[in-house]
Amino acid sequence: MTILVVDDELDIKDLFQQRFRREIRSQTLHFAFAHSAQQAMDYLNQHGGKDVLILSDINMPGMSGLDLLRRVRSDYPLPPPPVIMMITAYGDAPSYQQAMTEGANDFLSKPIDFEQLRAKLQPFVGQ
Amino acid sequence: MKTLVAFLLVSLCLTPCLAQDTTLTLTNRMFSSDQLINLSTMRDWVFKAGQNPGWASPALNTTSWTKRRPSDLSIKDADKTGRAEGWFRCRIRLDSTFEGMQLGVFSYCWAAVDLYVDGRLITSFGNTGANGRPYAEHYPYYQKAAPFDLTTGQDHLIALHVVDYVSPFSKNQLKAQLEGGTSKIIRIVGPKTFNWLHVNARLSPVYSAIWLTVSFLLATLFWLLVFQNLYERSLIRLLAIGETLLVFASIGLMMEVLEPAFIYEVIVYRISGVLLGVAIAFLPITLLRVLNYPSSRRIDSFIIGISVLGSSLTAYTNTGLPSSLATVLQFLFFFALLIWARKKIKGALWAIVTGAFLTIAFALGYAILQLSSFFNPHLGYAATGFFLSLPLSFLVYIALRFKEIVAEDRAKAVAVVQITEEKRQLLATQNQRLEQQVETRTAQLNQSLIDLRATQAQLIQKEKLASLGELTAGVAHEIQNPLNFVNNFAEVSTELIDELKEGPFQKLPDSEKGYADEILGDLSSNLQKINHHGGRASSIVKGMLEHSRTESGERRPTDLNALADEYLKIAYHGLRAKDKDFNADLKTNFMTDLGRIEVVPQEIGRVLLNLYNNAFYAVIKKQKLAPSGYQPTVTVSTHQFNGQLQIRVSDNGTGMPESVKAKIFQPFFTTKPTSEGTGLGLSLSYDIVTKGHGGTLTAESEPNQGTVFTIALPLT
Repeated sequence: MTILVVDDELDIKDLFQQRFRREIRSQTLHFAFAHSAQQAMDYLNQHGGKDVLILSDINMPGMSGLDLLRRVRSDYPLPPPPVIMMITAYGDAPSYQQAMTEGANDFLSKPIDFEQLRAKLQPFVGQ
Repeated sequence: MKTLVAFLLVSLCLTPCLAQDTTLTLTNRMFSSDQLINLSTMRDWVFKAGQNPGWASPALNTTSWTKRRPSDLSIKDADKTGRAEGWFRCRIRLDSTFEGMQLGVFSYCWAAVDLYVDGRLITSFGNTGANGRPYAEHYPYYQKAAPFDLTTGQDHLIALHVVDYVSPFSKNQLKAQLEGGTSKIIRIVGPKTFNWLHVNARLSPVYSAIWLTVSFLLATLFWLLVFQNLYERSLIRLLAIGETLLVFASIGLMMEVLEPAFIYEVIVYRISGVLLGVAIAFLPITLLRVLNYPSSRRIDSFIIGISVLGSSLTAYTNTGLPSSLATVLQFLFFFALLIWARKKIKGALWAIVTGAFLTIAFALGYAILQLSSFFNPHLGYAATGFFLSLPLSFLVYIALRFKEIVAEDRAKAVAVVQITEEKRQLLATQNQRLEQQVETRTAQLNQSLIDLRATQAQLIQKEKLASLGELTAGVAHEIQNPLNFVNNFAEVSTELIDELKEGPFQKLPDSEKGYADEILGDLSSNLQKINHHGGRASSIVKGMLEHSRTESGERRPTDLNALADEYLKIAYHGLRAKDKDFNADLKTNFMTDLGRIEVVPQEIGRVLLNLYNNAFYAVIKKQKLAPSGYQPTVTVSTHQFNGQLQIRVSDNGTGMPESVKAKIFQPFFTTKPTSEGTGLGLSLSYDIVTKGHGGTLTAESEPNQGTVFTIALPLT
C-alpha cells in the first residue's frame, strides 16, 4: 500500500518522512509525494489506482484537492477504488461537507495530528 | 293763531247770541266772556248801497234806507265789476255800566271799512278810497283795536262805509264773507280784550318767529344727522321730513305777520293747514319706527291719507272739524300704540312718551283756555308748548338714544378690546407653546444628530472591525501553514533527538558522551521552547480563524437564563480550579418569563464565558489593590423589552477609561499581560453577537466602579 501525499508545500515530504521514519524503515508504509494535483494524477496514471491511499490537501494552486477527488473517482471507478483522505484548514466546514459528498473516505484538518493520522492509517498497513 | 285754532275742535264752539232792541242800548252785561260785543249782528242797522260822504251825517233821514245788518252783506250787493259798496247806520247808547271803561273797536273781516261816530270819522279798516287814495282791503288778523270813546248815557250815531269785492276763489262770495267775516265787520271790546289784542298783535310775530326758528333749527339738525349717515337714519329722516313740514307750516304762520293780500293769505293758510296736518301724521309713523314696528307703506300711507283728507276737507269747507277729527284720530292711534307697546318703552323712548303727553296736555290746555275765553293771554304759551314739545322730545330722544348708542358702542369697543386682548394673549401663549415646541424639536433634532453621528461612528467602527477581522483571518490563514511546520518539525525533532540518544549516542566514546549529552539536552530544551511558543502562536491563529468561520453551529430555541447560569458556573469553577483563594459573589437576576430565543448556544456560551472571565479578571485585579471590605461581585441579569432579549454582565471591578473602552472590540487589543490574553476574546464575541446573531454588544464602564457588558439579541 502506497500513501500518496498531495500538497503544494515542499516541506511536507520531509515532515512525513521524518514522522513516519519508523514505518518507512520497517517498510510497513510506502510514501509517494506529489506537489500538485496534476502530479498526483500523473503518478496514478503511471502506477495505477490500486493499492494507493491518497492523502490530499484541498487548497492548492491550479487543480484543487476537490478536483483531484472528482477526477480520481471518475477515472478509477473499478473496485477497490483508491482510499482518499482530504486535508483542509481548520474549521473549513463547507469543504468538509463537499469533500464527503464528493466521495472522500475521510477528512483531516490542519494542523495534522499525526497520532490521529497514524491511527487512521493503521487498517491499511501491510496491505 | 287763527290757523292753529282751525285744527282744534274747540274752535267751533263760540258764537255768542245777543239780545236785540230797536233803540240799541248797550250794557256791559252784553259782553261775551271775551269782553266782546258783535255790533254787526245787531238788528238796528239800516243800509243803503252806493257812496255818499254825506251819509255819515247824524241828521240824515234814513227812512228810505233798508233795514239790514252788516252781517247780511253778501254777493248780491256786488255790481258787475264785483265791487260791493254801501253804508250801514245805527244809533246806539252806552249805559252807565260802561262808565270809565276803556272800550275799543275792531273789524275782523277783509272788507275796507270807515267808521264814523256822530258824523266824524273815528277810524278806517283798510282804505275805502273815500279819501281819494286807492282802495285797500283790510287785513283782519293780529290787529289792534282802535279806541272807542263814547259818552255813556248819550245816543250816538254809528255809520259804516263798507267796500268789498267778490272773492277770487268763489263767484258766490264776497271776500268779507270768508269764515263768516261779515258778522265780525264791527266789534266792540272791553278793556281786557282791548289789551289782549294789543299784546297779541305784538307777540304773535314773536311766537311765529320762535316756532319757525325752532322748527327750522330742528329740521336742520335732523337733516344734518341724516346726512351724517349716523345711527337710526331712517327714523331721523322721518323726523326731519316731519320737522321740515312744520317749518313750512311755520313759514305760513309767519307770513300772516307780513299781512299778505287776500289771495296769498287764503292759499298760504290752506297749504299751511295741509302741511301741519301731514306733519302731525308723522308723529304716529315715527312712533311706529321708534317702537321698532316693521315699516309698512300701507299703514304710513293710511295715516298720512287721513291727515291729508282731514286738512284738505278743512281747507275746502272752511271748518276745522275734519282736520281736527284727523288730528284726534292720529292722537288716539298714537296713544293706542304707546299703550299697546308700553313694554317696549324704555330708556330714550320715555322722552318721546313724555313729549307725546306734553303735546296732548298742551292741546287740551289750549282747548280749555279757549273754551273759557277766546282772548286768553296764556294761549300763546299753550300753543307754543303744543307746537314744540313733541319735536323737542324727539330731539331729547335722539340725544338720549345717541348716549345709549355711544354707551353700547363703548361696551362693544370694550368687548372688542377685551377680545383683542384675549386673542393677543392666546397668540402669545400659542407663540410661546410654538417656541417651546420648536425648542423641543430642535433639541430632539440635535439629539437625533448626535445619535446619528454616534451611529455613524459606530458604523465606521464596525466596518473597521469587520475589515480588521477579515484581515486577521487572512493573516491567520497564511501564518497557519508555516506555523504547523514549525510545530511539527519541533515535535519530530524532539523524537529524532530521543532516537539519537537511544541509538548512535550510545556508541560514542564515554569521553564524548558528556559533552554530546549536554548539547542534546540544550537542543531538546530549545525544541520544547519552540514547541511551546509554536503552540501559543497556534492558539492565537486558532482564535483568529474563528473570525473567518463562515459556518457556525445550529441555531435552536434556547433558554438564555439557563445558558447564562450554566456558563457562569463553568467560568467561576474554572477560575477557582486555578486559584483556590479566589472568591466572589455571584448574583443572578433573571427575568422569569423570558421567552426562548433562536441562537447558537455554544457561541453565545463562548461570548458569555469571555465576558465572565473578563469580569472575574477585573474583580480579582481590584481585590489585589482595594482595601479590605471590598466584596468582589459579578452580576448577570436578563431582560426583555423593545423586541430584544438582553443579557447584562456587570462587575464591580477595576472598570476602564474611555480610551480603553474605545478599543476593546478590536482584535489583539488586550490589557492583560502577554501570556494571559490573546486580545481576541471580545473581538470574537463582538463578531458572534453582531454578525452571527444580528444583535449588539455594548460596554459601559466607570474606572474603579465597574463595567457592564450588555448583549442584546433581537427576538425575531
